Amino acid sequence: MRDLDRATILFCLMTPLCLTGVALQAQEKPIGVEVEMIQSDEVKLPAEFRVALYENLVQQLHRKGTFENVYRDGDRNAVGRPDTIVLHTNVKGFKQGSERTRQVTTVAGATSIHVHCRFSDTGGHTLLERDIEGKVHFFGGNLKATSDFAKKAASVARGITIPAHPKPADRAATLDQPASASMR
Amino acid sequence: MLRSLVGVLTAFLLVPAFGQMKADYQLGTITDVVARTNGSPEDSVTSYDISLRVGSTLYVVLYTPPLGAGTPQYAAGRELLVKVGEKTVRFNDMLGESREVPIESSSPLEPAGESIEADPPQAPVKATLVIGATGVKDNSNGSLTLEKGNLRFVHSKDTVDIPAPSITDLITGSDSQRVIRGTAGTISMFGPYGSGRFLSLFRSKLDTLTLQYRDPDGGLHGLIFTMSVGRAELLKRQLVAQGAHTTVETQKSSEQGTSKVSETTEQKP
Repeated sequence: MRDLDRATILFCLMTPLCLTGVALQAQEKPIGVEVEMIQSDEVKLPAEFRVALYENLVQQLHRKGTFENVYRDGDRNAVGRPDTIVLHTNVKGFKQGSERTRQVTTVAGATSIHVHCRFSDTGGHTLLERDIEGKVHFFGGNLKATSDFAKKAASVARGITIPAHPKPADRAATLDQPASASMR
Repeated sequence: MLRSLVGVLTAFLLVPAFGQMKADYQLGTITDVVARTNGSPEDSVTSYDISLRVGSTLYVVLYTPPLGAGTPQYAAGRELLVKVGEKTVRFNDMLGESREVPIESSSPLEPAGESIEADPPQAPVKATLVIGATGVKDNSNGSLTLEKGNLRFVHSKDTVDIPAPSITDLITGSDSQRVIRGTAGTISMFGPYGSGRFLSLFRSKLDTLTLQYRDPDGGLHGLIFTMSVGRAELLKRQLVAQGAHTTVETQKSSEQGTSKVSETTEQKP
């Protein structure tokens, strides 16, 4: 009877541990990221801000070192890579301040940009969505708000994981099995 | 009664005289400032060749700043009222004192509205790369030239070449920057009695040139340049003539109503 109790307790303890292990194994860090060009469907964004947002994003993702490869919009090298995620961005709000006003008054003239960021896998499935704000309050030109946004977005990208992809050997094995058994 | 009538008549006579005085002065824009040195690097700069655009004429005047009046290196883009004489240009300095500088040369500027092919080959344009070039630090000063269908930016030993046909969008804009900037500008902001804030009021105008292009792998790049007033639109016209694409028509073609540039609108992949 005692043996049965012990076995039950052991089973109860081990089962969650095993399931956690399986769940952890099923997630992996993406190796690459493709940055899509900044969209601004709802607000009118000056061209220099659009380009500065995009370039700062690429720079910051490189600098953080989270991803081995940072691909630009339309880069053919990113095609057909399941270990790559895609960053879609859409500007939701923009307030252009004034550098002169900031320097003269200290409290007024701030520039702020609100951007909706969506990280997806190459299949288009959303992995993470977040609204990120970039702003400049005192020092620097208006474009510094884009750098602030890019730093925050690159930090958010660090925590993203994607479903594990089967290794080549496993993939060959799964080809013989029904489609429902393969992992995606 | 007679005295008041004479007073009113005198006032009426003086009005056109003031109007004439104001009409003599025109709005001019400083487009370039070149320091003169005597050859040896030890010599401090004492005078400057200042290019001044007034109407459709470009004047080059010799300016020698008075002692303690600061240096005009960063005056490009500044606008001021000037009175152009036969051999001199008169203007009021920041303290309101009238000054006269000799004209070294004058040349007519090409009026807007002529054909794109008539644009003369452009000399290197001093520009600042704000962001975007791989291998070149942001906010680097250098020169922009158009050579053999390539837009070339040179900063010390680094060179960036962009083929004009690979440019998918080309947009000009305007901006301004603090006259006293850099480290000195930052330190000056902490000046006593709000002097730093006062200095922040003095800003010079700039042109911005924003372009997007695709590399051989299809990757999209963006670049932002700033340069003296009036240079960006000229550079844009020349780039469009050499095969660059733009989503915003150049000033010249929009005035003429031609469809030459509108045919070259951005084609997204």
